[in-house]
Amino acid sequence: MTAATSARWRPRLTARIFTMSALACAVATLAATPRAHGVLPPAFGGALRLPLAAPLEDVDPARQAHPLGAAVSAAIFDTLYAIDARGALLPVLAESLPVPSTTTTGAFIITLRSALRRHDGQRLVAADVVAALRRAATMPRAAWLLGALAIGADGLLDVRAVGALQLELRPAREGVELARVLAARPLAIAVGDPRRRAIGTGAFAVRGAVGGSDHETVLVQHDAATLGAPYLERVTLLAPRARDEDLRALELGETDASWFGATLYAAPAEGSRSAAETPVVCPVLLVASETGALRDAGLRGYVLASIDRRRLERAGLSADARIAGVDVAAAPSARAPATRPTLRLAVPSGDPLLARIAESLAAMLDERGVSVIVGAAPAVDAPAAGGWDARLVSVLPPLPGAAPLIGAALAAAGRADAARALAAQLSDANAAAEAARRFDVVVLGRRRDTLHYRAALRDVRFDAALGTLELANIWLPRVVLPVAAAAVRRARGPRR
Amino acid sequence: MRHGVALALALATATCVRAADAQDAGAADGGVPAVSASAERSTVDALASTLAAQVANALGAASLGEARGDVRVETCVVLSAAPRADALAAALTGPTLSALRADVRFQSVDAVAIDASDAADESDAPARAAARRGYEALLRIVLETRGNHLVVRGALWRTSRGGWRALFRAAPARVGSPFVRARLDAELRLYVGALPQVTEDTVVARALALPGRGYVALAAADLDGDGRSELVLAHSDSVEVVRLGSSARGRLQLESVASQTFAATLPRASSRPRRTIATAAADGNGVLLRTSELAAPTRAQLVDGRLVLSASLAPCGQNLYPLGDACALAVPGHDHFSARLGALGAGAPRDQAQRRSGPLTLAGFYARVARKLRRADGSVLDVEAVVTPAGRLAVRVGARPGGAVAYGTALALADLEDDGIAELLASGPGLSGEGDRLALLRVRESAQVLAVWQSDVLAGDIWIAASADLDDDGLEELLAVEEPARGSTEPARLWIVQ
Repeated sequence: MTAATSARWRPRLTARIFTMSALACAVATLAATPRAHGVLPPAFGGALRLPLAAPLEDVDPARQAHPLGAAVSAAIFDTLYAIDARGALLPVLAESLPVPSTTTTGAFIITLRSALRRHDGQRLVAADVVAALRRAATMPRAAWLLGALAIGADGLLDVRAVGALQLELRPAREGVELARVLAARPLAIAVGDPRRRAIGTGAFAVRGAVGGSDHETVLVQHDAATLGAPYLERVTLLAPRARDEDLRALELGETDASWFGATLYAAPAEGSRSAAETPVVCPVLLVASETGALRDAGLRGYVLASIDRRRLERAGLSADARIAGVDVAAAPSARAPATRPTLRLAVPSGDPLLARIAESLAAMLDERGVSVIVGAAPAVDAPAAGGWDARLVSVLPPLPGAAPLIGAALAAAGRADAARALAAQLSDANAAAEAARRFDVVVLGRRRDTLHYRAALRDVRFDAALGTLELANIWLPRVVLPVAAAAVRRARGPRR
Repeated sequence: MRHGVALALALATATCVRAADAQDAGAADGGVPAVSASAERSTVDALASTLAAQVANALGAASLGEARGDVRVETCVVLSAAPRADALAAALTGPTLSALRADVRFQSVDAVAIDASDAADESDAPARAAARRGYEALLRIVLETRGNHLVVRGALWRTSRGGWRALFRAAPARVGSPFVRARLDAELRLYVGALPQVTEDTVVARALALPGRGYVALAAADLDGDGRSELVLAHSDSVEVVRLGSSARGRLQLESVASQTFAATLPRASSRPRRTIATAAADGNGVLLRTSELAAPTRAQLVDGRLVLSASLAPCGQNLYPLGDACALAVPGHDHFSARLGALGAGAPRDQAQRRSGPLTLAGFYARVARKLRRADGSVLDVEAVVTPAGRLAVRVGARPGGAVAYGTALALADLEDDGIAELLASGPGLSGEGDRLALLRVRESAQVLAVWQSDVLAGDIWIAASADLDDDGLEELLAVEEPARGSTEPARLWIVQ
């Protein structure tokens, strides 16, 4: 080696020696570092890109018919109370359980927690809650619950703000568990009109518009959330796509989950995937129109007898002809109609599961001599009478328990009076069973979905009683999170 | 089994010592019975000056007559195998002797050392003997160790040799009983001998059943003023007080002292993190604590045996969490604290506590411990440690930073051997339900963290830890609470590591 060559190599050698020494030191340090196994709470940070199973039109808690929409709504809006896994009532936005009013006979006072921060940075006050409850009273999927509250002389819900943080409300009758009613998800407190701008106090705030650019909805962490900030910093809800597109996006790492499957191919997925089954709690009903062909009990019974539940299972339902374990009134009949009847079946648009069920129903009834014409209906709430003989209705439980689910089913089927009567006795199992016995409806089964997601995601769970995905509890392990830059930024404070 | 016997013996010793101490303290002349180290002066200086002050007070109260007499100072050192017992005796009695020599009431001061066998003599015989030798006053000082304490006790006698009755029989009168004690910290250990350093083989760890489960913070303090520490354990909605005791069969157990739920009148927090967080710190005869469920700190104290929880804005104000040496600010909505600390005292600027050194880490922390440790040369060393939300253990000794990775939320600091070197008790970084482990770490002066001991895998989760001298043997123990595994109906367990 010449002197010139040696001079050129020397710096490289020095650099190499330095690098190797540094590596050796790092290895030695790691080896010498005492390690242990045990407990660290979930880390904060990270983002989730979650495809929707059905389009998200809005996040109004009083209008949700799909479990994922209800989950998104629950992540944005808080209720005054909640019911824990053991069935105990917990104050959420309220400071404590309702107390009898000292000034108005029969009324109760609810005091809000002080300094509750809305997503727009303002304080939540009693007037916001009063407005939210009065708005919910105009929504069919929420209004039946407010049957538990008295109506004032002005024909409006008898609820009023009696201070910045106090509201007074009167139950419809004695013995109503106000806190239990107000724990219902459709009665979550949304400030203003959530269809225009979603402002709540929940774990996530909506950034931009719901279904905004590229039909994406972006949820961002709300630090001052009543029940604590969610672990994820951001959740992007992607518009539903075709099965192949959805799976391809999952395989390419563009999304973190899919409602269709773990992989596009028969072979095991690259990188590990986990799956979470939704709890089978949300019934799907076939509701007969009071003026259509199915008002005939004989035809109704024949249709019920013609339903092959195994085929419905293949479409994505669990075979269960009851609601919350309670038998409903509909009875099958084996007598075929004299002429081939034609049923017009209305299906809420945008729910792929209901569309599959409608197709399956049409096929199986056609084989039994009943023609079915499937048509799209507005996704939310009962379509106006006429123009259809039966419709498919998906029911979400507003609260844990049989009575709330039966009440919700009655309300969704258009039996508003029966539902309102049940709202005043949500803890009464006998009243619920009695209401179900009188409920002449065909229960097709209960929704059953599987969410396939990256194994790195932790605590991907569904609420066992309500069937909704608990978005605020999902977290990512520290090893896949970016360096705690966000935490450092937060510690340093805002940049000047 | 060996662990249980060791703790039981420690407890028995502590009980005897406590009784003796109570006697001594009762006899003391209004002096400060216990001395603790401070940054300003060394432990030896503190002991010596306290002793001198007590003697001066006793002499001031005694009527020694007009004539200038002589005083005899007898020093008895009962410190077996102490390498520098004489030096310690000289350092402790020096200020007293100087004060006596400067006292115009005395013509001369004679200091003599007496045999250790005379230490127990509490009669007036030595005073009579001093009277016969012509002394006006006698001061006997006994230096001894009790548990991990150095006790300096004495007796000041007026020999009463001046009266005509004394011609026939002297009637000495005891005019003072100086008493002072201090933990045998690193500085005192230099004189009396060091304890062997804790190793993997000598660690004693024992778990005792707690009354409940779901604890979020713990701290120890002497709530009832009996000289022994009670343990205050906070739940998210209530507080329990327990103390170390023994069953009829002599087995160690935790005894419930009192419990109380947070009153409905205490303001609740407007927003809470998903996991309840809390801090607790001893504050005189009470414990300051704050959980994230409450809007302000609370003081727990025993009043007539009843646990009283009252809102306490001092010293951290409404928005901060008490840590003992500083106040912490929770990151809104999150289950950890902000890196920047607030100073103790209402109205103090938030960053004053760290103005000199800055925060240990910018990432915030789950748990933080800080202590001023006395070193053998009498100086004080600041040791601070935190567990960050990333599971990193960051330490700072003086100005030197150090650390290790992969630790959990539980963290406690103590100087187990009183050698001026900090030991940390930490938990592990896994997921809840996967099993946990306790780790004893030693933090050297260079800020290097060394593993000393690791427990077997525990079924439950360890979220919180603290340090305290629960058995009152003068040596600190490291404590941790193991919450039972999910689905278990067992109560939580308190781990005591010493």
